[in-house]
Amino acid sequence: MDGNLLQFLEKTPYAKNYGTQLVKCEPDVECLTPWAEHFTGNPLLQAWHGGVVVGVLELTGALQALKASGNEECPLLSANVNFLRPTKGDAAVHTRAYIVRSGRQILNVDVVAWQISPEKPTAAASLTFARVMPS
Amino acid sequence: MDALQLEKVYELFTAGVGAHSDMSLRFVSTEANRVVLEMPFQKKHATALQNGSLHPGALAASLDSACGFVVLLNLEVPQAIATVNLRIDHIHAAPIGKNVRIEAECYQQTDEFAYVNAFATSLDGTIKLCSAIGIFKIGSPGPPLGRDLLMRQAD
Repeated sequence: MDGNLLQFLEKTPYAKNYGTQLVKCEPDVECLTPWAEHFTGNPLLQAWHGGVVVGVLELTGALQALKASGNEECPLLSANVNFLRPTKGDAAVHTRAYIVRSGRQILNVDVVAWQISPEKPTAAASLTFARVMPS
Repeated sequence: MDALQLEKVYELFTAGVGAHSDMSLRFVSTEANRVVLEMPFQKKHATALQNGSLHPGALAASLDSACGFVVLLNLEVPQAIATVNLRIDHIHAAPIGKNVRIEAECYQQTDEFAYVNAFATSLDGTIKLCSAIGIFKIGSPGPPLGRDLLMRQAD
């Protein structure tokens, strides 16, 4: 397991609050976020809050960007998230991030979230990160 | 709806919504098709232990909440809603250790979909942190959580 990514999760309070765990780093970054009551978005449906799902997708994408950039934190420029199915409460969310393109200045990362199987994604994000140019 | 009623509605909107309690979002104001909320800085949502600011993911969650709230306020008939798409541009990091202001406006609504834009800014509105656009499905499966229902509970 990549020590830099584990350290990033450990030192980021936001990631700790979500309890996101690194499952694997190769070939793609994969995370698991166990269900917690403070993720509830719709108490009548007991579903994940859409914004929390976005947060977990962004976090997984940031880990992939960190890995691709050789442990340099890349600021997130933009996130475009499609919600594909309800993300049900009382169940964990799995996320996997893929590098679409790794350029000199821009990193494009796609992230998918699922609960039952990756073939039935609940949300998908296209993320754009800026690479910090050495001064 | 007067300010007191709206505040009551907002309390009901947030009751039982764990994510809203976690974010401690505060209702600031509303006018036609528009709401303003405040998200307090909390260390658990920070980018770092020392000199941290609100994490982009925390800003995304508050923007989604503000968008959902403004859609619910604009519903004539109580119906369940669901986020279909949310696009967020992260323009500037949030000020270190500071609260942020969240504004959302429902600029168009059809029978099936509501179209919302939203901004996160510094509390004084001088620094634009995020710009977002969202599409919400009106009448998604599930029990309705609309203004009228909330108002009935509030009475």
